[in-house]
Amino acid sequence: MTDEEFLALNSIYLKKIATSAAVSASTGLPEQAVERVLAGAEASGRVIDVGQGMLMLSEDGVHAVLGEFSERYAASREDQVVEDWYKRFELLNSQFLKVVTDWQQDGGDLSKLERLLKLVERQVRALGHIIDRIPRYGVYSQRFTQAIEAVDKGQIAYLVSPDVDSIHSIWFEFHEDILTVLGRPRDVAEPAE
Amino acid sequence: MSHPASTGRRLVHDVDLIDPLDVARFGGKAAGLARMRRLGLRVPPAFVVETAACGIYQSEGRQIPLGILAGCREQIARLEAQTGKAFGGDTGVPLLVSVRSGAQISMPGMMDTVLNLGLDRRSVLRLAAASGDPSFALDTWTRFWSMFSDIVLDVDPEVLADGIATERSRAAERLHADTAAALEHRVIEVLAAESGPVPLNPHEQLEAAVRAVLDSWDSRRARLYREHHGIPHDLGTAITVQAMVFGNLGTPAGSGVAFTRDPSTGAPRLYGEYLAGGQGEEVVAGTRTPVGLDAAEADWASIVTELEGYGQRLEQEYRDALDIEFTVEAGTLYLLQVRPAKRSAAAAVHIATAMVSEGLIDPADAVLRVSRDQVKRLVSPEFDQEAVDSARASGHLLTKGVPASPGHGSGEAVFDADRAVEHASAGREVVLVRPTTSPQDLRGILAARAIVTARGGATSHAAVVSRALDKPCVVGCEDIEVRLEERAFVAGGRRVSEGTTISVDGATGEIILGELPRRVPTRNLDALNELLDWADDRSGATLWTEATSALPVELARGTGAAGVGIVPLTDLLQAVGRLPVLLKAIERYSADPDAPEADIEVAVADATATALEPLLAAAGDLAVDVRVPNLTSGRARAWVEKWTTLAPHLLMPLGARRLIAAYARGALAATQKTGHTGLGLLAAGITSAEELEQFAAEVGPELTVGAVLQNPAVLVDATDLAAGGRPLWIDLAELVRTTLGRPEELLYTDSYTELPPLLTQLLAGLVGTDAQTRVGVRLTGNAVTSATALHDLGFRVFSSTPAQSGELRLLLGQHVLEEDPHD
Repeated sequence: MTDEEFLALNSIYLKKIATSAAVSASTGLPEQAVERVLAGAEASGRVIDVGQGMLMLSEDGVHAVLGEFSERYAASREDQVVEDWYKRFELLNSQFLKVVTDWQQDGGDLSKLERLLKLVERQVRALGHIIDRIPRYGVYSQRFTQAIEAVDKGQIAYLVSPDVDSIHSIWFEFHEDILTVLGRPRDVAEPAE
Repeated sequence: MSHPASTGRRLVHDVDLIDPLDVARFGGKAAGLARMRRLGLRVPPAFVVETAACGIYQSEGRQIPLGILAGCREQIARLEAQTGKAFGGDTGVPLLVSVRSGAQISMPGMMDTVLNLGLDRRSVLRLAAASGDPSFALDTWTRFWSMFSDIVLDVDPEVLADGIATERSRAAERLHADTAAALEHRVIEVLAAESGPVPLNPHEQLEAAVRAVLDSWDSRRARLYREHHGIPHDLGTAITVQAMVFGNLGTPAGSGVAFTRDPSTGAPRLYGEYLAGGQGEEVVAGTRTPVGLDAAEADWASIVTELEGYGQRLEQEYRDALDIEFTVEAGTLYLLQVRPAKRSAAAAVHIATAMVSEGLIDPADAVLRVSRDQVKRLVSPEFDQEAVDSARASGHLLTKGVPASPGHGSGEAVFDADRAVEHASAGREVVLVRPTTSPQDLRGILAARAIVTARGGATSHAAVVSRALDKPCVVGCEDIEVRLEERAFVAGGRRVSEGTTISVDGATGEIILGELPRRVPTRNLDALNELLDWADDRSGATLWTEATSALPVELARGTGAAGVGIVPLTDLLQAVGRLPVLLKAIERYSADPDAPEADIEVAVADATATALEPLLAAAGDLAVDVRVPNLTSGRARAWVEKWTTLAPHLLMPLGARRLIAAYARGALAATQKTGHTGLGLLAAGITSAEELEQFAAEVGPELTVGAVLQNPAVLVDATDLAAGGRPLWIDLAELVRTTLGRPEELLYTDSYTELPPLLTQLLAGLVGTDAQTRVGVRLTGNAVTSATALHDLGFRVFSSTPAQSGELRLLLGQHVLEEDPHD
């Protein structure tokens, strides 16, 4: 699988169903390249067009993406630097989910919002420490930064709404992504509280 | 021009000496403290750096003016003298302070509170000695570093906690000079690696915290927020520094939170809890079990009495229900913070109405004290309590998990997102049950009525998404086992497979087998109506409620509706299973304009009477406006099988005259049978005032006749219509659609929030005349957002669904009060 194909198929894998425009936005690949790659993947049966421009992975496609993860990140799964980085992410993740919850339950308290955005900025900085190992994570930084800017301009939907590329949507996708990189099932990764 | 600093004006003030009303100069926090001290309430002493410091700091190249530093030292000395404690230094009980930012208007980007500032490796030992509790002293100290790291240095406190774990546990084993020094050394090492030089001395730490507040005023986030909200950049923030008191020095001692009224019901009694010998944060964090104020220990009795007195005095002053954070140090009660209490929707309404009858606030204040969301919550249907009890009694309770997003929902259990989407798009209601959730489940969550996950806590991703979507969600159902490959879950030995209906209570965490009926709870309706009547007094608005069956009609009556409408006759026919009679008559009529009366008038009149009777009986003395079927509507196209081959004349305005006569005949029969006197029959889809008169002639003189206006063409006759004296309803969603030429699939969507200008112009012609014609506007779904614009145009009569009616009344009342607060 080429890098481009891996990026595009992984994006659909994480979103389950997506348009090529959404794939382009979440991978940073030009839309033309995405369309070309996805047309190829459709021809080889890895991608299914379910109508209205929405694309899904076939069982083969899911299999191929997961296989690609195992192959590409075999070294990362043994790499202590990645493991340590992930442990720090877990700390940040539980703080993030806690403060998002507080913000939702407190009717939009501004100090909670402040803490929440601070944690996202920490996550953006943290991503900067891992992109030498996993360069494609740079796109998550960009997406987070765009979502933060939208929130700063008063577009509160960019905090948690699943309808836009919100901070929580990106975080949720990233969490799934890093777990897949490490080859860990999600069941053990959710905070049990 | 010289700076105020160089003229020697004081910028640092004793909070006791400032004007509590000058919030612009001293910020909300310090002004609040000053107000409490003026009332004679015991508040730990504090000082404030005024808001002008921000501008000076900026203009002096981000240098803290010497005058401010000197002022802080002077004020710290005063706090030392007043408390008998020492800040830094080598002797005495250590003085600890909190540092908070406090602008006139709160905004994101501002520095959070730093607590426990004033400890170092030496003073922590003296705090341990004074409290007789080394672990408290150590906790206080490490909590300070955690906050200082997070807030002032922007270093993740978890990273710090990890880095100092070994030294901390050594100090916890035995706190003495060596272990404290080793811990401090390690803290500095970890923080320096992450952020650069770290101040060690409490005076320098205070300076760093002050600087952090001044910097935060100018943070990118705060600037953006101010620009977005039109707040001037030169307002500045104040800095409040307050002595801390400790709930574990002397006896009795402790900390807690008191509410002047019960935050869940609004009942006027002191409510709250305390933790003897504990810090307030432990109460909030729930790490130890606190004692209720109503069950206080003997040595706390006088403190509870004192709190009650404070509570009453504060309510008189603040004219609201309050939450009071307090600490008792060596038998002395201190109030730390007082603010409007968070409260449930029910409590908000009960408190607002009670305070009016107590004379604390007037009805206008009360209307502004409750939010639209709270009203929405109070009228949202809940599982019928009797049904829940009987389901429990008959063993239908499957499991109880962690409630993560409130609300009640039922549906067929499905176990993957694709199936959820598939079933939901086939019109079935589903509950998504998953072991845990991943982003791949999002589509399924969107399609489901409720979400259940076996694992995860209240802060899991699934919980966050469910709350964002306002859907019931229960997580952490430890004793259910989800078997994805079998499409089933097992709970308490019972197997629930795909397609089985389950009910989810997002407030209690219960998962119940079967579908539970939902009702609007009546327990808060009296208080809510009182409040909404005040809102109506302000707005002059009259609300009608849409209802097609007896239950919502009862609710409409319970919530003070002026009438029931607009009710589509088609819906009523469908509800009693008589729609096929009408459809058959239409086909018959189309095929043969002279079909026998038995097939048209008699059949349709009979069906109409049957459909109307239960509604009219339930309505009693409430007026009811019923809209007759419109053969050109999208629904008619979908329902009438051979619609495209219908005789063209039937589709002309008033083309189906025999049907109109039949509806009228049936309606008249229903009124005679039920004794109902306020029925109006509304024409739909008319294009001129003249057509309305023809419709009226067809109906006959016994019934009130009106119209639903659905297209811009008919509005050209606004003057004639308004003069005609017949009740008129504006179907806003439909009018917007026809004005903009949008397809029927897109009624009133989120894509625009303002009324099209042409429509505004045309609608203006219907109001503002002296004519006695009643002109109402039907507002449903997103169209509700246009309510205030329509009110501004002069419309006062509205109709909406029972669920939206209360929200709409509050919105209009608040709108008038906000436009003209002195009204």
